[in-house]
Amino acid sequence: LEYDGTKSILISTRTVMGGKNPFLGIAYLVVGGLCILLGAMFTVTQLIKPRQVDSTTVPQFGGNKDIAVADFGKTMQETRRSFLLILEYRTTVHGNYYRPRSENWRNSLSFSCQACMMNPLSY
Amino acid sequence: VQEINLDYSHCTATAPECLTDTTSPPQDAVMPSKYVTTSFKNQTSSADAPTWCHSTTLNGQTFGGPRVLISSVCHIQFSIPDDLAPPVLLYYQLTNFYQNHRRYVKSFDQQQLAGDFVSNSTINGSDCSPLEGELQPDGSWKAYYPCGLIANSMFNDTILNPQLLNAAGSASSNITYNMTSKGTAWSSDAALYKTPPSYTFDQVVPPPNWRMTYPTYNSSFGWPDLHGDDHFQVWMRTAGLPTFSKLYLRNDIETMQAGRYQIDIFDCTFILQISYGIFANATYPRLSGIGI
Repeated sequence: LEYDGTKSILISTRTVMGGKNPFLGIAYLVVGGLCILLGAMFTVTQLIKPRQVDSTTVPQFGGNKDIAVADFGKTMQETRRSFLLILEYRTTVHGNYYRPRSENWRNSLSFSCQACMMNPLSY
Repeated sequence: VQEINLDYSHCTATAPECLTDTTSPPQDAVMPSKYVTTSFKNQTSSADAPTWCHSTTLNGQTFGGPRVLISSVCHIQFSIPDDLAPPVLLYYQLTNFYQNHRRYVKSFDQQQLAGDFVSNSTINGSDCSPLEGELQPDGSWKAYYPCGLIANSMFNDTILNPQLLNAAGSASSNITYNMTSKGTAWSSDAALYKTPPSYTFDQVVPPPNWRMTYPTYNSSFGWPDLHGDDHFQVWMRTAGLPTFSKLYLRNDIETMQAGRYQIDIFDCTFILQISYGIFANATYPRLSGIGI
């Protein structure tokens, strides 16, 4: 087995910042470049095909066929709009928006409120 | 920061031999560019590329002073396009040398280095293992001074001061750019070493790789001057990574003028010496660089 070390002479000067050490500079450039690349990629995907809301995160109000309930294929904004519509409908028609009408209703309401806690900006 | 790095690992094997009775490289003996890294403000023209050659002499230079030894000398010429303002620092850089090996870093005896008398029985079985000492032809066992792997593997090429060739304003004679090893080690390090040690010459033997410089310890060679030897002290401060540079010479006063320089290096077989099987019987995983 051959030893593959090398030896060299190095003549160098020095500054107040010390000797030549490009490691940090290179590391910053690489990480910065990576961020720019990822940012561009996500911008493009957002423009071409925005994120879809999964149907399980959408409030399901069983039986109210006349209300536009968000389902597959709705964006977050559309979902929010329909949810607000539902709230308004509940308050005006039934007078008491909090009253649970069925197990289904209770479950779906708590589900949607969890969703709005988790993402306060969207409500 | 401006710097130039000249890899001379293969000087003796690859560089052409200098013309008879000369010690300066011929113009066409260009050093392969893979061995050269430069970082200067100004460019050097390709005509000023580093050149090299090697020669053999009987007047060897070692870390212990001049010796009558068949020595290979590497002669390198290189150009510096800008004036280098002091401090100008000359390092040697090694790659793939694991000075951080677990057994290597502790392989020395601080008391022995500090000049104390440390008995053979104490050295034998100490941290200096596996280089504590050896059996003599007469059957006795003698400790190495200094014992241990670090001291034994000391970088033993001798790099001479750069010579400015055909300096402007002087009649084509060479001007030596005087650099010193003083101040290359930490100023506090000298206190860790004392010369002479409290041994008599016949109580200890030089470690195996020091025998070119010190065939034996006696009054004509004297003791190695560990206290005054900055190169030794720099080497004993082990490097943390396998690629490292250690300061060898410096000049804190004079500017290193732009121009063409020659550096002569007494090229010992350092790399061959450290690659013999020190840990041949060790039950430890081996790292490249030591213990191959």
